[in-house]
Order: sequence, then C-alpha cells, then structure tokens
Amino acid sequence: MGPESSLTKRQKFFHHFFTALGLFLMATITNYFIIAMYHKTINVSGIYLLAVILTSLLTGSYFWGMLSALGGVVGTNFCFTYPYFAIDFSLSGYPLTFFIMALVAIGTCALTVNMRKQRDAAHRREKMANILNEMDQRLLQIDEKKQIVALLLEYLHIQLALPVLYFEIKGDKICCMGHLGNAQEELTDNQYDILCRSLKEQKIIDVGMTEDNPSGFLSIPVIRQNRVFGAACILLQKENLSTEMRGYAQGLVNHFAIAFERQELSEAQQQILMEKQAEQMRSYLLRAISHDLRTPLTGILGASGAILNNGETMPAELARRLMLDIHEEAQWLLRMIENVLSVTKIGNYNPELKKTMEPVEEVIADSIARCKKYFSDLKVEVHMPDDVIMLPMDPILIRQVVTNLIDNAYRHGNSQEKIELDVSVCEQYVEISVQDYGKGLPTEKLERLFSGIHNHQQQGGDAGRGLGLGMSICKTIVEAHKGKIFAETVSGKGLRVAFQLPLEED
Amino acid sequence: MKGNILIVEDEDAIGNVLSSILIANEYIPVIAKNGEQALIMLRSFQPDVVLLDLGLPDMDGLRILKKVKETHGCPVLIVSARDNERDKVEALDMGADDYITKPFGNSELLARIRVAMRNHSEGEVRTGESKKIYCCGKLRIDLEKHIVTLNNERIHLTKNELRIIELLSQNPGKVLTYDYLIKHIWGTDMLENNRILRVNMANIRRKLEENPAEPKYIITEIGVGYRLADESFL
Repeated sequence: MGPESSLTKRQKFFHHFFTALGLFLMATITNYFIIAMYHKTINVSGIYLLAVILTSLLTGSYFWGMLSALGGVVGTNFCFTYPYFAIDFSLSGYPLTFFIMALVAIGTCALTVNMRKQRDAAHRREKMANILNEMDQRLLQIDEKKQIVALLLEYLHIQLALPVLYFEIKGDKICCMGHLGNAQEELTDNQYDILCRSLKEQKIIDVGMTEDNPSGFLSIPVIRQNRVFGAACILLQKENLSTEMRGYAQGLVNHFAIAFERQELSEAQQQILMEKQAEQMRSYLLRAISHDLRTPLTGILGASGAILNNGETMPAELARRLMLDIHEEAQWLLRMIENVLSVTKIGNYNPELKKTMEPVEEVIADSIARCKKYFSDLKVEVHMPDDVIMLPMDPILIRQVVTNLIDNAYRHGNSQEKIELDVSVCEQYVEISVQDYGKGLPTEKLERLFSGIHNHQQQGGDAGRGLGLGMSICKTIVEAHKGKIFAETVSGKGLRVAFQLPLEED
Repeated sequence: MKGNILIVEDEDAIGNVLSSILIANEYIPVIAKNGEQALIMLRSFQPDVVLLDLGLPDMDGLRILKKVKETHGCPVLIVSARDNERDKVEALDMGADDYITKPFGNSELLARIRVAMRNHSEGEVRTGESKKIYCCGKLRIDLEKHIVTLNNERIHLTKNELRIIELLSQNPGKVLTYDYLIKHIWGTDMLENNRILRVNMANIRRKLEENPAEPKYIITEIGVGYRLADESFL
C-alpha cells in the first residue's frame, strides 16, 4: 500500500468516527430536550434507533453501525433511565434492545453497501460509456492503421495502467506494431507461444499470475467476422486483472476491430480508385500516342519519300526545306517519347518515386538548356531567391515537367516575347511557375488543360498538338510528388501554369 | 586524318549514320557489330576513341569498357539508348570518358569526341609536367597558382570550392559523377552526403555565373554529375 491510500483510509476512519459520534451526541441532546419538555422517556430508544439508522446509512460500515447500536443502548441506560448517569445492567430488556438495534444496524448497512455498490457500478459503466464514445469519435477521425494502433494502445494503457503491446500478422510473421508503458518489443518465448495460440484459436488467453509464474500475460485477438487483424497483449504486473477490467479491455479491443476493418475496406477502395486512374491514364496515353505521334510520322514519311523519289529533279531549296521538316518532326517525336517514357516511371510500374534532394536551380537550368536545343530563339527570364533551395524529387521527372511547361509556353504563347519562370518558397512548399505572353486560355479550357481531353476532340491544327499529352503528364508527375499543378490566365500577360512541390519528405 | 574510331554498335542504321558522320569529318571509323568483334578489332585496329553501345547482343557493354581500360587505355564514349541515370553513372565510374544518349546531334557527338581525344593526349603529356591553365570564355583557372579569374577579376573561392573547380578544370568537357567529386574532395566517408557537394556547387555558380539559371561554365548533368564547359562546346 502506498502512503496515499493509507492517508485516505485514515481520513475515512475519522470521517466515519465523527459522523457516528456526531449523530450519537445529537440523538442524546434531542432526547434531553424531549424529556425536558414532555417528561416522558418513551421516545428515547426510538431517537437512538434513528441515529443508528442514519449512522449505518452515512458510513455504510458494519463496525460503526454496531458501535452506534451499542452507543444507543448504553446512552439510554446511562442517561435516561434510573439510576441516571450510571450503568445498571440489572434492568431487564436491555440485551433485547441492543439486539434489535444491532439487527437494524446490520440490515441498514447491508442495504447501504449494496446500494453503494450498484451506484459505483453505474458510475463506472457511465464513465466507460463516455470513454468509448469519445474513443469512437476519435476513431472516426483517423484512417491510418498506425494511428489506430496508437489509439488502441493509448486507451488500453490509460485504462489498465499496464504495459501493452500490439502485434499484427504480416504474411507468416507476427510483427510488433507498437508498445506503450514499460514494455519491450520482444516477448519471451513463452509469451510468444501464447500470442500465437490466441491468434490461431481466435480467443482470449489469460495466463494469470501465480506463485511460480510472476509474469502474467493476456492476449486479446482483434477479430471481426472471423478475420483476425492482430492481437493486443497486456503484461500483468503485481496482480491479476479483475473480471470486470478484463471484460472492459475486451470490449475496447472489439471496438477497434471495427476500426481496423473499416480501415482495410477504405484502403482497398483507395487501391481500386488508383488502379482505375492508372488504367484511365494508360488508355488515354495510348489514344494520345496514336494520334499525336501519327501526325509527325506522316510528315516524315511523306517528306523523305518525296526526296527519295524526286531527289534529282527537285530544286535544292525545296529538298532542304523538306529535310528541315523531317528534322523538326523527328525532334518533336523525340520529345513526346521522352514524355511517354517518363510516365512509365510512375504509376503501376513504379509506385514509389525514387526521390533525392536536388537544388531547384539545377533542374531549371537543365530544362532551359534542353529547350534551347530545340528553340534557339527561346528567351526565358528566371526569377528565383538567392538561397539554394533543395527539394526532394525525382529530378528527371521534374525536369520533364519544367521542360513541358516551357515548351508549351513557347509554342502556345507569343514566341517573340520572353517567358517568365518564377520560383518562390512558401512555408511548406516551393512554387515554380511559367508565364507566357500569349492569348491565355478561356476558363472552361483551363479546367480541362490537365485532363488531356479537349485537344483530342479538336483534331488537327498544330495549336492543339501534344498539348494535352504533355500537360496531363505534368499533372501525373506533380501529383506523384504529392504536389499540385494549376493554370490561370493573367490579364495583360497570358497563360500562367504553376506547380507546387512539398519542401519536406512525408 | 584525325584518328581511328571504333564504333561498337549492333544496329546497322545507327552504325551507318555514325560512320558517315565520322568519315565526313575526316575520321577513320570501323564498325563492330557485337562484343566479340569489338574485342578483336580493339587489338587489330588500335582505335584512338571507342564509341560504345551498352546494349549488345552477345555481352554487356560494360565488360568491353573494362577490357578497353585494362589493356588499351584509349578514351571510351558511351553511346546508349538506355535513358537510365544509374547506368550512366556506373559506366562513368568504371572509367568511361563520357556518355551521349541516343538520339544526339552531330555537332554534339563530334565535340565530345574532340574533348575526349584532347583530354586523353593532354593527360599523357601532363604526367610529365603539371603546369596547366584552363581557359573558357571569360573564365580562367590557373591550376598552378590556384587563382580563378573571371573578366580578369579575381574570384574568391573557399578551399573546397577551389578544389572542386580545379578538379573539374583538369578534365574540361568531361562529366565527373557526384561520387567521384565527393570522393576526391571530402573522401569516401562523405559519399552518403550528396547535399554538401550540391550546396558547394550552387555557391560556385553564384560566384562564376552571371545567371545561375542559365549557367555558361558549370553544366549540370541531372542525376549524374557536373562538367565544366569546354571551349569547343561554346
């Protein structure tokens, strides 16, 4: 016993003592008054009986109830019967009075104790209901398995005040997903066996503490409709868990089983959604490739065919122009293929990007250098902070995004004008934007710029060629980096396309 | 004639294009269509430069690279359609002098060949006397006096920055991988710490380049390393 509980016990003792004494004195004084006013002793034992009942009710203790009964008998004898202020045991009927009073005390105490027990139980149930309610509220707000495990451990640990661990079945292994309290991640072989058995048999196994086994262990599997998610383990210390607490712990775990199930379902849903998106992207790519790549190939085949067939008779000037066309179309094809290749790095083939910390300026410099290879009169004005900005990214993919944006700004903006490239650092992300001085795009086209649909419907015309493909690839890449991309028409300038990348790796 | 060039390439179309470009520019090319042929011609033809495609039908191109470096020692230019930075870095770290990704422009190819040949022959001379001055545009690096000037104005660099720029200027036009640079400046313990190199490079750029977004002298090969511009690239 700690010093704190002994103190409360002492306080309780004094509290009971003063209650009993107070009631006894009050009964005695009341008796005095009644006798003084009416000169009759008929009510004396009745008043004392009342004191006995009240004492039993207020203390709920047999000891004080009996003592009060004794006090009542002695008080009657001592104060209110002849000879006054002396005990006379010769008076008949007193043992009987004491017996009746004692019976009343016992009966009242039993009732009180029972009532209190029920009241306490109701209190505890209400408290638990509140805790469960609060827990459900918190469970609704989280959807990651890690968080659910952490919450389960938190509640078990706080409620039981014991070390707790959570284990999950991963393939044919059992892994510790977390622990709280003074628990190690490693279980003893014996505990591990118990855990395995409880997972396999899908039932709670409670190895209580005994003389020879001082390390008690409780394994509660998390089960929902015959599906075992894992098990919560409780390391017992000093004493065994009461049946009530055990039931409570089990109830808590059952609540979490529902949460685990919900989390699994939403994960599966997410997976389906992602697969659907990837599928859409693939089919879109196929359509875009067949359309966007066929056009320049037709040009190349036509021009090279013309030179082959009529090479001798053709004026040199015309032949040169045709060859230039071939060269340009081939370069354009190459850029498109680079785009398509970059997408194969994301999506189903490679769900995790291989990110490294890269200085933004290097990626931008390389993108501009690449674009200048194709467009020798390209003018890009770059504004960026003096500090070196390092960002986690796949540099090849981000270079592809910047190249596409500059390419797009050059071909669809007014190519005589410069292109502005701005880099700005915000609290959690870096924004890179490309501004052209073209006509911009109407709002309804802005919305569909990254979906890659609209350029497809409007067949032919160089204006739309490849725009949809390049832009939707930008979106795919930026979103794979957990970033955002958006476009707006800036009045007085033209189209501004910006993307944001998070500064921190998640 | 400028020199013998061995083209190791299994695709006829590309082999033909390469050899006609080289002939037009007064080189003597020979094509090997697989690794076995390449190893034979290496002995009989005694090339000055090897253009090596990594994807060969009979063996891994890296094996030929190793063989050339072990026995012959002439510069090797990797010509590859593999657009994978890791492959490039691996080839460079194994001793390749440069790489060029298909498809490439003619002038780019010729410039790379020139640089590789020059660096190689100078390397042979340099073992005799180490005096050297690197010059490119307005940038001048005196490797003996450890002085860097831009527009005839002296640029103040930290010790490590100077070591980086000197290392790069000893191999102008050649890409040096991140790992190579880190190993030679900070030692093998720092290989994991790529950031220190990148920040140093960014600082050098701020001192040497008018516009860090369009650098003239220090060229970044994303995911691979850095090269210092060569006069013939400008």
